[in-house]
Amino acid sequence: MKGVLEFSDIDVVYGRSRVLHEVSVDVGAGEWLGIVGPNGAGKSTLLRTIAGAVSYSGSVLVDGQAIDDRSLKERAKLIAYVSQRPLYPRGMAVFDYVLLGRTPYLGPLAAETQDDIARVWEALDALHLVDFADRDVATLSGGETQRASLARVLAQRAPIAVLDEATASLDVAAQHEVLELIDRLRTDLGITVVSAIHDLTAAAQFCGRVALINEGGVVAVGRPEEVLTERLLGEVFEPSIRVIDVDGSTVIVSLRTEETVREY
Amino acid sequence: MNTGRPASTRLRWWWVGGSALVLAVVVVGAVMVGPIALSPADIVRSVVDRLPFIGLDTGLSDRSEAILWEIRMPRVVLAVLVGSMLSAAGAAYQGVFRNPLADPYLLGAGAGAGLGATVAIVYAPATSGWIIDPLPVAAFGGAIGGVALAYALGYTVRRGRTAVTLILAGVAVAAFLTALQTFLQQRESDTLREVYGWILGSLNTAGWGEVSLVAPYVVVCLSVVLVGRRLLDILAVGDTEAGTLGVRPGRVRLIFVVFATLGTAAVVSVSGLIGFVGIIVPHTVRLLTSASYRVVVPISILLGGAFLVLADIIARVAVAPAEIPIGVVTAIIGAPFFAVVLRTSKGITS
Repeated sequence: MKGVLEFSDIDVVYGRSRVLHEVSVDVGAGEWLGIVGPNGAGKSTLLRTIAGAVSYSGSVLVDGQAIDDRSLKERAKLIAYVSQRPLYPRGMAVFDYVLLGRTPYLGPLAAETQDDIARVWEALDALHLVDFADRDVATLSGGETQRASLARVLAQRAPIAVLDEATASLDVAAQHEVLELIDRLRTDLGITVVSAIHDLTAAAQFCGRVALINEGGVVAVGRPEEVLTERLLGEVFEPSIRVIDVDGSTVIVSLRTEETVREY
Repeated sequence: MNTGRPASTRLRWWWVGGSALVLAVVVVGAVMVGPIALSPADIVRSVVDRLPFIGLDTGLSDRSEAILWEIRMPRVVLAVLVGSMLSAAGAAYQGVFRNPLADPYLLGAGAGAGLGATVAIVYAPATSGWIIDPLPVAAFGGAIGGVALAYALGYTVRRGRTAVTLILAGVAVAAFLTALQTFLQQRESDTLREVYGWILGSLNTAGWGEVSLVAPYVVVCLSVVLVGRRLLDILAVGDTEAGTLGVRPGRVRLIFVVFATLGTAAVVSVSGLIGFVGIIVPHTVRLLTSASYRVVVPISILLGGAFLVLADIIARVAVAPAEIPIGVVTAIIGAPFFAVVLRTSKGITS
């Protein structure tokens, strides 16, 4: 299972505004690339090029081949995607929701096989959701729904997982759990992970590499300690950002100073 | 490790069996009811007698046989076809538009059929000696034309082609066609009663002719919706994610709209605009069983047929020998029933 993903010279234009310009970034097989940047920087747009949900110029390559040259189904076997605000249909059982991940392997009219069913149970097991199998997916908590989405990604058996803000709106503990589970999928199964991530501390602690994006362009790409520096983050976000070392882990916070009080 | 589906996500046999039983009971009841009473035993014997290679002494007079086979049976069969089709089409529309208020007339099929029927009634009255009755043809064409217009309008929206732009296009088309229909109806006020009667719907004219006209469309369209129903569950996660699961939402939407509309156009062309069925039946099924379209579509087909047969019994009997328009009955018994289901269940699901 490979899973090398390359974006090169991606341009996206909405009406008259240029949302992304000449964005080039690549991800190695089994790597976790975090995409960070301010709101509106173009993180989601970049990920949506993979979903085929925006028209772009440039190219997105998976294992050296342009995704546009592949059928939608072939693409779905290579890349699993979770949007920023996924819809969890009311009344749909968690099992059925995860089963949707098997869609690329089914003919348009074919029913699921025993193998598909088994894959769903495996995915539920990996995300600790077996006891939730017949629960209504719309009644789950924030952390549980994210786990359901990850189970769907796992059932899809794609070498690349693209997650647009997997941990937005989760409490600290739930966020940590989801991030650890994502990392487990990556290390155990070799899945390449590309995720937009707004929590800079989480990006520093979990991502192997980070791409900092601002105003539609790439500011820096590299290991977290190279990219998530006070100088770069200060330029892109605000000057009061501090990068702190706590027992060997990086913590990134924004300080309330007299200067920021005056500024706002 | 578990191997099968969890129980709650299966299409349980008693849902199918129970719905089929309800349909069978209601059908036999509908055939019994009328000025000439027929017993269930008479009906079963007569049906068995008509099976190939079986001859039975049914004990029915020729007159009773004629009432059974020429008057009641075709009407009941037509009610089943119309009810099943409108319910399945409603479920399909709710699925592809992710909108619980969607019904088969959403994109202009109803308004188009109404305009077509009014044009036919006003300009080509039944007495004018046409070889084929122009009314169903005009209604059928109007329904297809209305939806085609809405689709064309929805597709000209530059950035969009989403479910919402299509619905809005449908609203615009329906309003326009309804306005034309009303204008025509008001100008030719001597046909008002006939036009109005058609719009409220009736199975009164049903004979085997209508049944054989409609049945092929219904069978084909129901089969497509039934076989493809898994796709409706995929669209529920939104167009973007559906796309990344390997499904083209626009194409799926088009296929379902084409077949749901074709079937709807066929049934309204002979029954008129029977309202409410396409919304109430799928929702009742969701509330009683499951929200998955794997369950909703087949059970709606069975119970939709039963619901319309039941409504037609009431339409025939309540103020006999006169008839109530069936569209009035579907709303009068449907709305309170739906309200009860809504109150006693966990909540509306879409």
